[in-house]
Amino acid sequence: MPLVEIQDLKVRFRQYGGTIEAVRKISFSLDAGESLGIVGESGSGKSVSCAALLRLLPATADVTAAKLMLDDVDVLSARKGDMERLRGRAAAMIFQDPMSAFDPVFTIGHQISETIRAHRTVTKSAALKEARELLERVEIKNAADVLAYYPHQLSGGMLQRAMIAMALSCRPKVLIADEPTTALDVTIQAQILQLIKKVQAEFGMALIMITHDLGVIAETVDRVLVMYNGEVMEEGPVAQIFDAPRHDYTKRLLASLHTKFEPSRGDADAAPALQLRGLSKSFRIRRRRGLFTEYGAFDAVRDVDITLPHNRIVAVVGESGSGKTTTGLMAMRLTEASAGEILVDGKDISSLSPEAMRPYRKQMQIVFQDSYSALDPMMTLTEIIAEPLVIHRIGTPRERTEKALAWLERVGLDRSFGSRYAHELSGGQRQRVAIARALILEPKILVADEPTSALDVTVKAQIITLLKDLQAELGLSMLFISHDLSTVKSLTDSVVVMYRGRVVEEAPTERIFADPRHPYTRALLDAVPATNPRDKRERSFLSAEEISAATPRMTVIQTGLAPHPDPQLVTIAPGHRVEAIVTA
Amino acid sequence: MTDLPVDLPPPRTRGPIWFAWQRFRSNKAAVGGGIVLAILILMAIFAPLITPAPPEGQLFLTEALAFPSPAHWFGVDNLGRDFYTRIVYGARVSLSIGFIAAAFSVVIGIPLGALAGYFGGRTDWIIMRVIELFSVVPPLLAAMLLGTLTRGGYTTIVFIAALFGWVQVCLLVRAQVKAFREKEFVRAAQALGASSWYIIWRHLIPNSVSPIIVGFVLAIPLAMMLEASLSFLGIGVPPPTPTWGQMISEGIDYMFFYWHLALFPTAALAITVLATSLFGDGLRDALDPTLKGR
Repeated sequence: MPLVEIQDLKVRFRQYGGTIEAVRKISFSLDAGESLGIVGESGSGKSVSCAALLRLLPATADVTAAKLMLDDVDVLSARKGDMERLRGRAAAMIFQDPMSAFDPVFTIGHQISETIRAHRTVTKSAALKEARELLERVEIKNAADVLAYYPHQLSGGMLQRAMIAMALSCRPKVLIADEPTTALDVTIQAQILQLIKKVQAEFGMALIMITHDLGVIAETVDRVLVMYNGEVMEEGPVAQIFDAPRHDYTKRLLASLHTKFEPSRGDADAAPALQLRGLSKSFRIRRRRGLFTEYGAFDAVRDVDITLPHNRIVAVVGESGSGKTTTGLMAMRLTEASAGEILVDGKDISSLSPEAMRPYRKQMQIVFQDSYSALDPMMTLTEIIAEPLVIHRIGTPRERTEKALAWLERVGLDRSFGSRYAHELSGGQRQRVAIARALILEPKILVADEPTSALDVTVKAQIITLLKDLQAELGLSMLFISHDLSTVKSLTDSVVVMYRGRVVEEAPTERIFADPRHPYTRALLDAVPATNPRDKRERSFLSAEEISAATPRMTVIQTGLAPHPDPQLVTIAPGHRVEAIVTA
Repeated sequence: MTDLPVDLPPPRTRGPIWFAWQRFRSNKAAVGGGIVLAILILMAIFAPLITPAPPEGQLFLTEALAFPSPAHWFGVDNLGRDFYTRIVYGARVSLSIGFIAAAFSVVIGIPLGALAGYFGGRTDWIIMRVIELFSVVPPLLAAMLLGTLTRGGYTTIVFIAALFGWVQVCLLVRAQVKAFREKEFVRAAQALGASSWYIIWRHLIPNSVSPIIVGFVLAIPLAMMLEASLSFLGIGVPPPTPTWGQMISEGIDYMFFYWHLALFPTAALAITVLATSLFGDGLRDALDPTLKGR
């Protein structure tokens, strides 16, 4: 008897004057202890199917199925009370955003013990004790302290661990993980995935992993269900899906994992297009202490040097909070730098007035991560793309419209889109429009701030291809800010690794992937999810202390630099610099 | 990699305005308020066509203070004027003061709200203190003072109503601008070298349309009430121009004997203010972006 059995599930959402079919006739089953991956892009109905299984859909949804069984209970006809018992005991869910899954006004310990007491009759202290054990099971070291913490006091990764502990508290038979690592950094993602697999084995649970990331699938599951547009495209063991995909969509999905590009042909001798010298940013923090206010400084970026040669793509990688986005914004002069120089073609622009900046604004542009807020909802696409021409007073209105439409085509959208508004487009299409707006003035420098991290895999590959094509055509110099190392590996010429506001390593792309020297770079590379289930491996993770303890040490003779207690960047090969402590 | 059909025209999806209209339509009270308001506006515009007598003509002196009858639907007032005619013409004063004052509120409120929201810091501080100044002074008291000093009149009332009406519009616009200035399309415009004025004018104000509409509609009943109160106290629009406030004030003297003189203008004022408020509330709920019905 399978644990979960779904046959001919259909979900429809009623909307003003019509219905939208979210899931059309899907069937699958899951045995105890098995792990199943559901992969598909956003809107493919993967989350909706699992929400239907727990009857968590809003009242506007019509659910029909020939069979919808969870742990021998018919979900469609179960009473409300039975359903409540079923959730948690039979199946528990963990979500993408752990921050909104916890109630901000109660402590973690309170919330976990409440869940335990809702399902079993135990005393408060026994429940708290159990909560503490659960936190220890999910590898939270200071479990006793964490019990008394409020959600905002924990990082995203820690919260996701606490979320898993809460899901485990009812001893579910199935754990449904809905994009559990999408909001997390690569290093944290790898840790959470490893943890999910570990607790699955320990508790003997079945697992449903919902994700759009094939890497996550390759790492965690035995069997895969590929969904597209509310239907199951393909189902099979994970090895078969990766090695011998049958359906076109699956093939496309896999192809997007292995995109390769020609390296860009830069001119090594010419002066760099953009040079950041000793760029720093510190924020002033105000702290109240009694009647007095104290001022402290938080260094978001410390003394960063980055060189972007003409017609090259340089990646800036690092986890969130490493200062990579701030560096990009400072380079564009959208955030004022606290210190340092920004050289464009050898001229320092860091202290130019807005008026004097105008000619430089034409030469450098930026594409943002969130394509939803990057386009003005009140403007048509033509108006959005033509905006740079309006601001710089180029051409007549007719010429501007014509040029905008030409660019619309150039980024792969039909001319008929010109009169539409941004809300009518998908995420990938919006990002194309944002790229058209950034490039219509034909700038020399483009800062791409995680332009693909909010997109689905197949769309991501298309956008990257588009960026690369345009880069080669226009001879752009591009600063590519990203935490996605597989894209970085295929797209960029050299890589700058940032960690806690500093550059810790810098090298040509091939070299950094072949021979990483800094412990943080190694940790980052190690965390990249496998692109094939056969490459699955056990990982070891380093804490911040371990990383700083493992900082390379070099002698004065090796480097020719004066000894210093603080780590400094040392050149160890042409174009390869790494942060090391120089000792006598 | 294979070339994918990326430029499939997506199905034309419904815009936010369509959803706003759907939300508005499902709000019965607001639709009712809107219909009543539309009828009142039409009545005010076509007043000469639907009334039997000129509003200031004392044509029925012999029937002064007559009760409602088929000939005089709302009766005749103490000076022999057809009361129905006077009520209809009163709508002209009330509604025109309401709309003009609301328009001025918007004209003052938008730039101040946009400046406070966009620049923040000192500009915001100064504008917020001015707003506080206006919110601690009771409007009626200040209006009475100003009204007495300037001997009342139509323009004075519009001026006073706008003076106290812009605060709400300003706060609404400020909140919207503050929320939108952090959006990345504003950042993108800055990266293109756009000036602050350009960003405010091209991006932030168009995106504040819904709070502006709401602020405008909700400023109307406030101005109408202010006009009625001042006219009631005798420092508003001077007679013989028919206004509801004046009529209520006169009707009170006869209330115990000739009930119609107080009842009809009060009812007219109440219905108009209620209809406008319901319509405004409905608009606010329909245009509220947090309720996007998807």
